[in-house]
Amino acid sequence: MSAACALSVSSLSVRLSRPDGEPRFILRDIGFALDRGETLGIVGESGCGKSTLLAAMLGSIGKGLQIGTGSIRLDGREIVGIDRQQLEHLRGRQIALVPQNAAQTLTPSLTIGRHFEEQLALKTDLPAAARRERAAELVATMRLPDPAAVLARYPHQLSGGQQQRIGIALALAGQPSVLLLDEPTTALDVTTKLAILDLLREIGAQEKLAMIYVSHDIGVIACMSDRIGVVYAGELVEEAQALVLLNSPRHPYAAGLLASVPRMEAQTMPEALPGTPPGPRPASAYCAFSPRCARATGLCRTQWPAQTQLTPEHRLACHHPLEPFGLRPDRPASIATIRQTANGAIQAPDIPLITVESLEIAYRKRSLADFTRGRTPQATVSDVSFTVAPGEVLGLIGESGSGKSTILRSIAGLLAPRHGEMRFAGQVLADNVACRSPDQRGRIQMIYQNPDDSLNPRQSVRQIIQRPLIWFRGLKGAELDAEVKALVDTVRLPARHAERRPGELSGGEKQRVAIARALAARPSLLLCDEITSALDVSVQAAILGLLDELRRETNVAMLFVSHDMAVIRHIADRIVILQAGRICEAGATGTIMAHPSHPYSASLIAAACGYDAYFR
Amino acid sequence: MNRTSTALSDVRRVAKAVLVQPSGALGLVILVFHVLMMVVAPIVVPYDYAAQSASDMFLPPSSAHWLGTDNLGRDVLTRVMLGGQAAAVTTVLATTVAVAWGAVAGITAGYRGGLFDELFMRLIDSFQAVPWLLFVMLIAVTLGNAPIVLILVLGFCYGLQSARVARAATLDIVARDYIWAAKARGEPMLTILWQEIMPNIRNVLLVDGAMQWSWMLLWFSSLSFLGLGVSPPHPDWGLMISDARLYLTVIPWAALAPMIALSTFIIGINLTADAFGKALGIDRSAGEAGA
Repeated sequence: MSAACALSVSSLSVRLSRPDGEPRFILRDIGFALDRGETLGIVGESGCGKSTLLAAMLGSIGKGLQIGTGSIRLDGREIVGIDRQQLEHLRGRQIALVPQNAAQTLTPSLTIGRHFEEQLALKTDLPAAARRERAAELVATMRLPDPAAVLARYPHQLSGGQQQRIGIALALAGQPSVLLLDEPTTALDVTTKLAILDLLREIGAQEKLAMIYVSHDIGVIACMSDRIGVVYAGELVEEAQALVLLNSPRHPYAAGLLASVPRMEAQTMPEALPGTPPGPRPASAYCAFSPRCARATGLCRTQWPAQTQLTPEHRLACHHPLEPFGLRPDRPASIATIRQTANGAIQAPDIPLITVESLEIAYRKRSLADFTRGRTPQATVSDVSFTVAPGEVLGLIGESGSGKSTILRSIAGLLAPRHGEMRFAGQVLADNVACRSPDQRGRIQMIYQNPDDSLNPRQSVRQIIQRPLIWFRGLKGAELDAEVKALVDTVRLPARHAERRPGELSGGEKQRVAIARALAARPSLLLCDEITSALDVSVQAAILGLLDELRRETNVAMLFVSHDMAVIRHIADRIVILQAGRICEAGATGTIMAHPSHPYSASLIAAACGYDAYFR
Repeated sequence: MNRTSTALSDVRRVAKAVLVQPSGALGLVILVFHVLMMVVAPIVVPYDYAAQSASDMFLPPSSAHWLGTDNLGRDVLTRVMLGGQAAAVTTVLATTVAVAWGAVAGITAGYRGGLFDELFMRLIDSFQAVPWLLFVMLIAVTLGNAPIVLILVLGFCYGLQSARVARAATLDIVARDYIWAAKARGEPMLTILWQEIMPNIRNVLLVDGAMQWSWMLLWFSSLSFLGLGVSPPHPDWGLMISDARLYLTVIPWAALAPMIALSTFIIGINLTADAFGKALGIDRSAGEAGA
């Protein structure tokens, strides 16, 4: 590698440091080089070693890990094996990290100005007066209005997006040449996210930064990167120029991952990638992806694929790569075609399953202080009306805080609305779930955002699924066992999982259990609250496919909440767009996607389409 | 059947996790020693605990009296061996009372939330502002110091702390979606408390109860020291320390022996409870947050 490289990594491996037994690798034989002004995007599912890779470049891999072999050079200088003091000197000055959640890295009791003061004193040689100036300058670069005022504030006085900008500015304080970005926009809303990405691109070009952008959001990676590396089980299985990789991935894993991304333009449902990535592996003699790969042959299971150089810019580790342009979005749909009816044909249904009329909801209960001061908490949702027909999927879309989940909770009877009426199957739906009939409770089922939170960790999958069967349908004995088995099968889980606890399952498996629990009550309306947002794209595609199938088999209606336009587009017949607790636009999916009439919906759609431009 | 076998393997796993910690193993050894001593003492003690003898007063340790005799000529070893029983039994019962009512009250407050919770917590705050030793003394003086009175009063006072712990643990659980899912099914409150919440906070309550027990022992001994616990001539560590303190320079062993017995017992309980906490993955310092 030439000395001009800002960062070069060669045959890097990181393993669990256990004295006994075979070493297990978290990262294996990673190599790449990055020039100034270049951005490398790294994608892969959770648990593939993305974060460990970043940690290794900062020289701070966790306890219990050790760098096996390899070298990491910063501007030609080796950092593997140098001592702590030298490392600390390099961090911030040559290489810096923008963490995932800036809010957690800022000290709540210090002003933003103090954060900069500390960072600049540590990482630059500027005198005190110049430091203050430089801080204001950095804040201004982040396009934050009134830098002086921002510096005087405390972290909690800034919004999530502003905090993330401060996080970036702090990372840039020492004028590093390499910037590591660890999912810096994951916690942000679509529009804020786009603004931050824009800013990062601009700063990257301006300061000639070499950036490594790690994310599981392939859309973001597509926007940001000049080159993309795909990591699987700690190995860099494919690396190429962004446009080449996005449009013609050669490694089956890269192709599978890309196919599972929901797209605005595609006519088919995103395709699921079966299976989960393996944990830390011994230096095995076979391809790590072979158990999940449709193209795997005996060769893949016996011989480890070495990395080959297809072109100077394209490297690949696979025995049976796909043909160039092997991923064609126009191949026959394997799961379901996108609902054609959505092209403006659907009117509001005649006999709605559920009708919601002028709903107004306040989230907070009145506290003691409210009572004494005679206050009424502010409404989070106001004047919301819609209907859902049997078998229909209504998408509810909006940014965080727009009241999507609040509406679902009210329909589930968990949060009494202040005003408004709900009717279910022709009958008035009581505000409080306790006042509803068992039939109503059973027929409206909710699936929650985060399965870690919605499954009791102390109960087995069987206990979780059988509770609604006993409660709503009075099953017992052999009948109960048979039904649990059938449900576990319906959501495509192996039967042995019934005896496990949620802690022993992967994220996607947990969400399947949550779906099985909802189905156990034989619902006619499923309330889905961002149910795929906590999952990897590959798993998300599988869950969406499952729901689509269930809808066609059982004619269950869904109220599907999401902040992701592309996801909604694939599953919803009609959509309702919420902004700050009010409906700003509603209508058939196809119509709104093609001709949004409200500027806010137009911006949401544009944000989602933005990524699509990078795919062929 | 499946359930019992997992419960058994859970117990085995936790026991193992306690024993691999040196402090846990030591604590358990001390605890078992004390408990065994309390069980066998009535059979093996060399003398009658109440037998006074004017000729044997103030004797130093010897082969006849291993720990010497006290100011009334009673054998100190006998009295130390027997002296933990009353305290241990009373405080175990009082701890059970404390954890039971504290858990019920704390879980209910945490679960109900809102105004009910706030009023309940302010009530607990005001109770905790009362210097409770005086409160217990007042009760003991007015209602007498029968064991049942002491058990209930100590149980009440310590239950306040247990209620805080139970409430804090519940608050963490009650906002989880699985509780909302149970509510959405229309499950009755008791089912939710027992089936969904209790399994998640049981360990916290157990470990907290064990720590409470050691505190309670100390305070029970203080009551005895003040003459409000066990009535003479029945032997009790607190009472023995109180009796012997007047003759500290003459017969230090008569005070030292029960002191050591009491402290080792408490250390044993604390070490074991801490090890249990670690084995069950509970950070005790975090358990009280949010109270």
